[in-house]
Amino acid sequence: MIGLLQKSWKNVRPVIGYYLFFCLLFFVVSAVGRDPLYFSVVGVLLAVAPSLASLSRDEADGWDAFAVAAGVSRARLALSRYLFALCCVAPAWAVSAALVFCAQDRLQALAVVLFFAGAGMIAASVMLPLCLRFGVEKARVLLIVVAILLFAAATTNGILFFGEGRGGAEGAPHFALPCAVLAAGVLAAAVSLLAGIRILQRKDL
Amino acid sequence: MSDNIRIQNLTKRFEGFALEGVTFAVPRGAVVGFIGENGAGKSTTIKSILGLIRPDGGSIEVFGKDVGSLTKEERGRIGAVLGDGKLPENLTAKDLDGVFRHIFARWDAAAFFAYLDRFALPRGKKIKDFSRGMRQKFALAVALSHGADVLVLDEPTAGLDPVARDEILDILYDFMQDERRSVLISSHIVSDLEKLCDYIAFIHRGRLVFFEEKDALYEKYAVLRAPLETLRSCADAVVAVHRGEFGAGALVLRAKLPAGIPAERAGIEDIMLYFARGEKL
Repeated sequence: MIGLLQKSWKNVRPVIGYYLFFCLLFFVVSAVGRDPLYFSVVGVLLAVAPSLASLSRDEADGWDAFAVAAGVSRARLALSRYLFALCCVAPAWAVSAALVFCAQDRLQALAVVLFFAGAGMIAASVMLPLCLRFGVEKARVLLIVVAILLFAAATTNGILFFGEGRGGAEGAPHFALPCAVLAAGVLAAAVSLLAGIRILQRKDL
Repeated sequence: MSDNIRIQNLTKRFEGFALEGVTFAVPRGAVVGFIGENGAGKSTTIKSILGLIRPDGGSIEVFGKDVGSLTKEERGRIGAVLGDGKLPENLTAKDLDGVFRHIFARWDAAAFFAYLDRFALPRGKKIKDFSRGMRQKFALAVALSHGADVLVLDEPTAGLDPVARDEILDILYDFMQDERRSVLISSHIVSDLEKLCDYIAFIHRGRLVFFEEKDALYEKYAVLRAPLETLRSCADAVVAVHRGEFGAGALVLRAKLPAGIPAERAGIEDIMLYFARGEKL
């Protein structure tokens, strides 16, 4: 597993500077504004972008075929992709959590952090199996469609279940929607991992 | 003699192509040359051995076990060079050494760098900046550096100059000094196979045409260039005929050739061409 994660890390090493720049920029904005919202959005980016870049590189290298021929199991190879996504996003979550303590409204800030952590997990959970199944280029197109559908569904459900006059803004606790999104994210991650392993086990390399 | 690789009735169907009933073995202590035209099924067969493709039928055993049930350590005993030189392009040899230490159970960094030095490959240069020949040598260096007992090589000398090819053949000779080892090598450079191989497996349009000892092929077949009337007179011996502008040539069975008819030695390339492009008399 270490070798696979090392390979993934080395894949994104050339572009890590761009990600760090964005992280720093949004961190400054969040810190100055005392609102973790901006940096939490970066968390969603980090849940997806480095993994996409690494997968794209692996495709170009024919790495999956090499790794399986070398004795790496397909399940382990699939798991390494998810672990890599987690390794990319976990530091952002930690920084977001730290920013909560600087926020003006800490409860609201925590709710925002939880919401975007869940959103990031959902985004990665959708992206990874699509890439494993269809390849990165086709998956990018499908991701746009999926993102639009998810946004529409999330907005609709958010209004229906958490909107004004529906036990939402005034009546429901701050954390109802964020916890729902986080729970959905955890569930999506588990299902996505099983799907990703299955996809890779059936795929001709 | 036991076999390091045994393939029985391997079948794999794609749209427009099918590998059907491929059966041959790679005995311990032997080098098997795998020949065929482009698209004949060589790479499909090799990928099936390495577990990269799921066959639709048949069985493949490596070290006496089904290929699907090999442990990671057993898979590590198979050294592979895949076609098109699949290698991580943005990494250097040093980077890859760090990765391979955690991938292969018996990674030998000293041997790896020794091969790099022998092939005059730079350690700090990215693979994408290597020439094709350098990539092939690098892939072979990796295959030889993790304690492999079987090498499965898909066109390892493609794109190499004669000097480099000769160097690689020497390395494969050295590898085979241990009689427990085997090599399965596919190549279009038949002269290399004639120097190195003990057995030849010829695949054509997804079917195995023959799998025989190389020396037995030389004894079995000959090439007869003669007018068609002469060829018809020894029709029993004729395997395939190729009609050209200036006459005809035929691949014939020496054992059935009537006495007194001179025939030329048939090289592996001749045998392959006649089987692939020849017609029935």
